[in-house]
Amino acid sequence: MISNLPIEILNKIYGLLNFKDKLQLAQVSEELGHAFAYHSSLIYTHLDCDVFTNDVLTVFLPICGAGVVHMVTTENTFEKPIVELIVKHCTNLKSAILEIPTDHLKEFKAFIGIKSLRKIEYLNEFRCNHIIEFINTDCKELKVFQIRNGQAQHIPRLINLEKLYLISPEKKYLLNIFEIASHLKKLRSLVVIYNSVSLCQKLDFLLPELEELELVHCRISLSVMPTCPKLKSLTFAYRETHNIVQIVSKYANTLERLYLHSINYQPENLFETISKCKKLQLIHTHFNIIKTVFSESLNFFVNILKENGFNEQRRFVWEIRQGNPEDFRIMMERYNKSEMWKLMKLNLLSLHGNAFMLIQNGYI
Amino acid sequence: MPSIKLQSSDEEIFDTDIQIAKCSGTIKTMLEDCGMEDDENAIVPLPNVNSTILRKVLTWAHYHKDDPQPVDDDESKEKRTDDIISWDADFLKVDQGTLFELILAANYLDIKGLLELTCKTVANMIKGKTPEEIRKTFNIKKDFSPAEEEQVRKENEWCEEK
Repeated sequence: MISNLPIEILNKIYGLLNFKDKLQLAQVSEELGHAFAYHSSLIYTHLDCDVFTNDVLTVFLPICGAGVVHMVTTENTFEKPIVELIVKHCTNLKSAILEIPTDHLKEFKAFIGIKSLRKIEYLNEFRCNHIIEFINTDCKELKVFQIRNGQAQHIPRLINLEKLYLISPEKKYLLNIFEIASHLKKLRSLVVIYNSVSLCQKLDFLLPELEELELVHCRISLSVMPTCPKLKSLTFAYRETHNIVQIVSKYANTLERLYLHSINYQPENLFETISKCKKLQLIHTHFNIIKTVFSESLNFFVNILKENGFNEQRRFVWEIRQGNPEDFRIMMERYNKSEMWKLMKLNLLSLHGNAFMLIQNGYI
Repeated sequence: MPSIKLQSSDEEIFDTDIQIAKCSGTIKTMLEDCGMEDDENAIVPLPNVNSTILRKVLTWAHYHKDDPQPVDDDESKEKRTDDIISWDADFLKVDQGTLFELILAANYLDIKGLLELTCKTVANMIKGKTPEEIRKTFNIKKDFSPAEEEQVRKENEWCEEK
């Protein structure tokens, strides 16, 4: 009898059916339902609600909800019966990507309070209030698009947050982002994309566990930068950043990776930064910067790398986006034999940011 | 051509061409690991397969002896089930008991092609049917209470409408 077949064979048979037929078979008997739950735990751990109608979810969730670990919701997901099924059956849900619905706010709040959730990403397109208050406090990673000023003040209640992304917060009032982050004693990574005049009104907050800080479109000044005794990675992307050497030097004792996008600075700023940050192993810049350094100050740069202890076994990494391929080819041909290649490797990124070439010994 | 003796669970001996027997991953491993390949009198016991099923399996293996090894494909993708050749379709015109025994034998003997074929045949028997129709097809008794049954029926309305 089909119900008596071993689960690995039933799994194979389920694999030969479309989703609708799977659901039909799953409802035939308890054994076949269990086999579907097993099958789903292997392939439906990530549930995109855009693909399934609520009718399908009504059948799927009671049988297989426990196997779902990641969910992408739609407006319709927050209809009351569906959220009730999710809350009841998706007991292992770890992460969710959500859009706050125009309706069913109460259900949305019930969803984000699911105890097992550790990673939440949501878009607050309709500028709703009273959302953060409902996120379960065990949440470790939060990414919010367009958070309202008042809502951001509630972030400190999420005391277990390790990663926080604030993307385009409301600009009505100045958001004291570092003040907010200073309450999160476990925070290891902070990413802020914020077109604002400043990031903070007060000075020098302590972010004790922060290892990665990324500030995009933020006007950065030395006076507002927090104290981060464990900072290893720093990313800036804003054209009008001044005093870059002083800002980076604040983290000189711990900094290992420095990403500078669209920032105006001179090669000597870069040399000074590398000289001061003795643990720095990687720097990311625009192609034009490396071109200028190679053509104007190569020997000086080589000496700095030597002073920082780089050698053939332990090479400094300079990461760039490709820029003009012809310029790049000419540069590499010109410096192919340079001593610098014994001290440095070049990570060439594609336009999408993936490293596609690692150049260790000059141009090949 | 060298042959090997296969013994079914009901102790019937099948003198089989060694290359045909080796379409079974299980037999191939036994022959190679136990050094039985060169011993014409060696008997490979197959305690999980009776003589009726083993005969069918060997018939299938003989017909498909020149087939390339099936490749493992992506489990997460739905596969075709409408590509069964007519010889295989005729071969599997058997009662359900035999079909399920063939599935179990193919699984035990690790014959990927036969397992794929038999599972596809079962999948084709399921496709497009409601739970009740599937129950009828496989003679399965309901194990839901009347209340649960009503719940399932309600949940299922969307399928039946389409």
